[in-house]
Amino acid sequence: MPILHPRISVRKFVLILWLIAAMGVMTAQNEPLAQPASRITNIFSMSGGSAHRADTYLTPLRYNGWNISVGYEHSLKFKSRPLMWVLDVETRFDNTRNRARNSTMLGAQFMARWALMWLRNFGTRYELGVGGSTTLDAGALYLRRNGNNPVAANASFTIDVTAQFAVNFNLGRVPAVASYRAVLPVAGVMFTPDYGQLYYEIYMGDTKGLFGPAVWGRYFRLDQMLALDLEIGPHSLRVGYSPDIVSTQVNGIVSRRIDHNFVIGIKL
Amino acid sequence: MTKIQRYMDNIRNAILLFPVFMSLTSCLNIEDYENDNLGNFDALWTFVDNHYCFFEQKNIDWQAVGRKYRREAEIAGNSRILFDVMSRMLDELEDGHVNLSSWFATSYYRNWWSDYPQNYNERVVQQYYLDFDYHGLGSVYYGILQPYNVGYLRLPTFASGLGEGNIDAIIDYFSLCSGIIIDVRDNGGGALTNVELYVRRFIDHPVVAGYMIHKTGVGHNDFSEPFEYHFAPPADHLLWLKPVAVLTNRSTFSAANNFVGIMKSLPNVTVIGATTGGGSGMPLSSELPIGWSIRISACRILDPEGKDTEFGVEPTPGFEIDITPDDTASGRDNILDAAIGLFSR
Repeated sequence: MPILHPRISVRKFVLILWLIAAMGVMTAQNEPLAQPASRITNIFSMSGGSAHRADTYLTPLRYNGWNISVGYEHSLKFKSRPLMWVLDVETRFDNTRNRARNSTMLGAQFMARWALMWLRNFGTRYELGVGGSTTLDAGALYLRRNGNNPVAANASFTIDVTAQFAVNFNLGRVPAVASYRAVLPVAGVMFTPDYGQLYYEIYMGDTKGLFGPAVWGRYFRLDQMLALDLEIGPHSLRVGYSPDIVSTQVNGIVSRRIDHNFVIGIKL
Repeated sequence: MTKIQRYMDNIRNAILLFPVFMSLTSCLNIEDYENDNLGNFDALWTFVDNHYCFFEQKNIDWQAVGRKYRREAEIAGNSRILFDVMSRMLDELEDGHVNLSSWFATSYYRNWWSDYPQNYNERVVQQYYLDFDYHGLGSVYYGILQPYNVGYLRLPTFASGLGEGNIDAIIDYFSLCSGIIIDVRDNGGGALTNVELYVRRFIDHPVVAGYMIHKTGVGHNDFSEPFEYHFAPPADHLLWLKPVAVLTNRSTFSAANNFVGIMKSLPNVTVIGATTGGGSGMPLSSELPIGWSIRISACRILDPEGKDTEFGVEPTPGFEIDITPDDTASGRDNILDAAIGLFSR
């Protein structure tokens, strides 16, 4: 039997994940990172674009529409070590419709991520960052036309691999940084209601097996950001493109969220 | 090739591979149905096949049902004909919780109540028993049956409930009565949370309210272990622990059926009337490519004794009573009379 059996080893699995996360934090804290930081960056951004939703707990049909989100990113590059950590918080709303255009699905999602990356420079123009992150993600889809199953909730906590590549150059006389960042969860825990389990049953106390491992084959997520930061005066303007995908298949329930977003932000 | 160039090549290749990686993730299977006659028929048939929870209890060969109607669906000339074919296929489930809803109609299987006597006339109760002297409160009304000194509480639906203070007021009003009659005839159900709202006023300790069983997969017998759930009395609110009579007819359905099943398990409760209409499956909704919505029974709820009540809850032995049209014409409600007689013994 796999060690990650969803109904047997979840508690141990969560414990291991927390230990890994805690070890990462402790390691980071034991490093002499408290030395003067060389660069703190705050980015406030908004994004919007297309949204594509599917959740077979609610409907076998795919829904398409739009989404908007607001985000905040706080990053810290250390002077003494080639390290950078990033705190990323985002709230997203989406509105999608079915193919017959007679039903609307609403969605809301909250995501918080903390990443730590080792940086390596190649000359003065190129910088590669590789590391890990933890992501907490939770939200719900609401399909108004459904009676006893109008909501499909989702929640996950994952350990991810993170990579970033940046190029410094001048766009005319304007200093610019083009960057690409990708975050790929590799393991975690997620909300896993059973195939036909109604939320009323959960409300009445049947919580057995509600959380299970989030691993490839059951949970796939890839968050990407292609950004161009233009240094205009004391601040920078960020424009970018962000294609994100979250796809899960657990207990016979398949869900998918795909977004293609145009991003605009200000870097302080 | 320098070391830096090799690094750059690897990075470029990795970036180029990301779209391929993303496309691989689309392999998680979500079946697509065409928005034509067969696409909609197959979407409906498959949803029922995967989620309906009473195939075995009703001895339904769903494969055969599909074969019976698929050709008719394929040649249906317009949406109304297709809707009619699909509705007739769903009627094979003989389930009042099954509905197909389009922009021009909602299908509904009626025989679960239309084949039985109604056993209830509201006007008779209000005129000949309450003398139109009762109090309305939200969707419910209540009064005291004189000269018997028996409380009468009419719960016509569980789609809406009352506040705890409202229920306190009703129980307080009945405090000098020898018993309460709760009339849930023609109550077509509603929310199970409202069942709990009322039942907990008739218990003084936590009780087993029933068991829930949900589907764990697409197989007709893929069910979870029964989950035992409980109701507990409310703190700091009035309780009624004296005798109770619950009046039922065939149109007592769904959440009301569940209410009767739980109340019947309590020691001070007598169920009087006719076997209820059933409807013990909690509905699950979905939709078809054409935009129609579908609702079916998907999660079984058993009564506190662990029995399936999809086919109804029987009255307490010795209290099976029907009302004839002649009774109604003469202003008599035999079921209510039996309840009054119970408290007059």
